[in-house]
Parts: sequence; C-alpha cells; structure tokens
Amino acid sequence: MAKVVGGFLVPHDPVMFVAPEAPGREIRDRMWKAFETCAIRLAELKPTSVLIVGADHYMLFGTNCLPSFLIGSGDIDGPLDALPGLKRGVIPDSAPLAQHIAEHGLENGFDWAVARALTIDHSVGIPNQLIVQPLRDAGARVGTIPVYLAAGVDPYIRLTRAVALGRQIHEAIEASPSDERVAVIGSGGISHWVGTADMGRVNEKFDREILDYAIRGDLDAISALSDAYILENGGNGGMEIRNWACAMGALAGARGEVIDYAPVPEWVTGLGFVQLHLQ
Amino acid sequence: MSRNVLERVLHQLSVDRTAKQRFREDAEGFLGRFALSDQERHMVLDFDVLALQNMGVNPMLTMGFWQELSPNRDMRAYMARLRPVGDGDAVHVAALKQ
Repeated sequence: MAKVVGGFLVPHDPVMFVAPEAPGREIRDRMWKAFETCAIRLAELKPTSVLIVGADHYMLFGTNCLPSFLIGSGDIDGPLDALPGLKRGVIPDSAPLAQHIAEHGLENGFDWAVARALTIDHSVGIPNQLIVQPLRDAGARVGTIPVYLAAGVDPYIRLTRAVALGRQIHEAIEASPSDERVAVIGSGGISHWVGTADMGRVNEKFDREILDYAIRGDLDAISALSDAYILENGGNGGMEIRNWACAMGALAGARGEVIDYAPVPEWVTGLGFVQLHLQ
Repeated sequence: MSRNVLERVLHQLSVDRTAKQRFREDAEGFLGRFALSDQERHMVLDFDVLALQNMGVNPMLTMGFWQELSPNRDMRAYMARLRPVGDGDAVHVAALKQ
C-alpha cells in the first residue's frame, strides 16, 4: 500500500537565481545549503513520488480560469518562467498516482481542477530542481506531482480548505493500492511583498509565528489566521502559507524541525526550511 | 468590472508574445480591443502602476508589465512610482529579470 513518508516546507524564491550574490556570503551559503540539506533528508526517505504544493503567480492561469486547487495529473514540463540556472525541460511525473489522487478527491467532495499536461512555474520548479532532482541525478526514479493552490491570486483558497485538502491528499495516497512512497513539499512564503510598495520588507516576527505553528504541527492555529492579518504582516507573498498548511494537513500529527531560517531582504523574503517528521 | 479587464490585458501582455509585439508596435490599437475607459487606457499607456494597483490589479501583474514593456524597465523607477524612494535608499525587488 502507498504511504506518506515525510514532508518539507520550503521557499521558492526566484531572486536567489536572479541575484545570487545580493546577500552576504554567510547568509546566501546558508540558504543554498538548506536546500541541499532538504535534498539529503528527502533521499533518506526513499520516495518514489514527491507532491509539491505551489502557487500560481498569475502566469499559468489567467482571467479566463483561476482554479482554487489543481493537480497536474499527466505530463509535466517547465518552469514557464525559466531563470538563470533554472532551465525549462520535461519533468518526470507520477501520472498514475496523480490521477488516483484526483479521482479519489472527486469521490470524496474535493473537485480537483485537472491539468493533463502542465507547464509548471518556479513555485514547483525550484523545489523540484533543488530538492528532488538530486535524487534523480543519483539514479533514483522519482516522479513529481504538482499541486497548485489559489495563494497568489484572489479569490484565495481558505486556509481551512487548504488543510482539509492536505488531509484528503493523505487519505488518497493511503488508499492507493500501489507501493508508492510519497513525500509532500509545501512551497512558498514566508513573509514577502511582491510588486507592492512594501516590496523588500521582511517580517521576522510573522515568519517565526508561522515556523512555530509548523514546529508544533498546529493546524488549528495556522487555519485561524485571517487573510487581512496575513496580508498586513506577511504580505501578498505571505498568502503562500496556504501551501505550507496543505502540506501540514497531509502530514497531520507531524512535528516540524526547522532546518534553517533567515530574513533576507536582498532576496525580498523570509526564507524558512522545515522538515515535517511523522510521529 | 474594470479591474477584471485590466488584469486580462496585463495577463495577456505577460504571457502572449504576439500581444506583447502588438502592444510595442501600436499600444493604443492593441488596447482598443478591450472594454476600457479612457482613464483606464491611460493607466496602461502611462505605466501608472500605482493607479492600476489602486484599481485592484494584482501587483504581480503590474510588476511583470513594467519589467516586460515599460520604456524604463528599471525596478527602482517602478518602486518610485509606488512610494518615495530616496537616492540612498536600498531597493530590493522580486523581479524575475535584472
């Protein structure tokens, strides 16, 4: 039977690629090292599939259709927004398991929007390259399953729904007759302001509040945050904690271990890295 | 709602190469296809990102629009459209292009 084997909460900061030298050496080395640590920890879990929860940045989806939650159930490539050091290409998928998750959701009150052939953006592309791809480079066969929540463009998915979706993902995986070992990555945050007058602001107090919820696996506390509070204290980019909440829901009961955290104004983000350990 | 049309315009201009080219060649002609008021059309033509955001347009779209198509793609100038920026102020941006 398939099972969830672990999880991670990580940033997907494109400025790390666009302006890699902007922060001081100590900080930038630590942040790249944190991604490496996540990759090593992921390899130890021996996953066959990695489900990455990201957020569209008003690139993949437009005014014709803004899905509340979407799963890439077939072929994957990307990222659409290729960056220096982040090239666009075909990404190995886990289509059978992704289709199972979509179908299981439909049977249980979660009407997934489905992308049969999806070009992902950097929110999935960065964790895929920095955390999952090293396993493939070492010879492992690992498929990526992209999930997108409405966390960058309103109407935003509610935090309670993001957590419930995570729980549903867990149930769907456990109901799969396959032998898949699945890791779940929540990609985004923590505080950052994108394109607004406050761009460059980082709120360490907010970031540490969210990290504390992740450490304790406190789904109730993170679900109770209002959008107004997040926008004020975490910025429009902080709305991506929905992706963390979804991953935390998929690993309900897990305890979080902070691998690293730093407020990095030069990269316009509070960068938090957490491993979710099943108890 | 105007916000919706403005977001449609800016989204097209961020992902559709043909739309970008048409805008570069004849911005007013391109915008004529959309149900925009004169005021809204000028917000786009003038790259008035503050006014666009005040209309409710998503800031990720205004930033991408500025980076892709404004005459001065400099992000310091973008920030100066949104708030006062002093000569000595550090400006950090989330732009995908430098």
